[in-house]
Amino acid sequence: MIRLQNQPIDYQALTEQVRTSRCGAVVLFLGTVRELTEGRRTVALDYEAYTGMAEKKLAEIEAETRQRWPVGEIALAHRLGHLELGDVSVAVAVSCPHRHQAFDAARFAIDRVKEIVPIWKKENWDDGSTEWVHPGEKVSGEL
Amino acid sequence: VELNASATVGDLRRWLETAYPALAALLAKSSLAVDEEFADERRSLRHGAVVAVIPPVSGG
Repeated sequence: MIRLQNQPIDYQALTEQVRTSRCGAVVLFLGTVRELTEGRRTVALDYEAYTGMAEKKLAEIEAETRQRWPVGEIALAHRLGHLELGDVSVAVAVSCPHRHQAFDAARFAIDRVKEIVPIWKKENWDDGSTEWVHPGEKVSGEL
Repeated sequence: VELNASATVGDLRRWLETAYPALAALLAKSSLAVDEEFADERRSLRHGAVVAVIPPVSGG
């Protein structure tokens, strides 16, 4: 299950959604809005997506993760819009038969989200300035 | 945008650099997506293709 949403992410419901008696391990990862980045103070973040492609890429990540690990269920949710400090921006919930698989699968999925999904955040710094964040290199989409 | 019939993604990138010099620095770091899929510079463009400039992403 993948989802882009403007409403807060209900990560408890997401976690329940991936629980299954076939799996003995559930891992939930949450990304939350952090106040300090290299000494600068954030007051809020704004997220925007190239929506259709972002949904496509999230679905690809679900498929890639299922290919590599014996995933029971997986849920990927990313929030868009205006987020305050501490808000949940992204959630990955994965169930697998065993814990090491579930940890590795969740790690893989969140790392891929940060690599290939066309979503961008704008920093709102405490001095009133704003800045779109473009941290990395070109996105190729290849593993 | 109008390019010749054999134009590639790379040709469009060079066209954008010329048409929007202010974009050049970000464009150099950006990927191009054709019809919602990341595209190689050598890929040829069909008439009516939807191309998006994808700056380095910062989701999560």
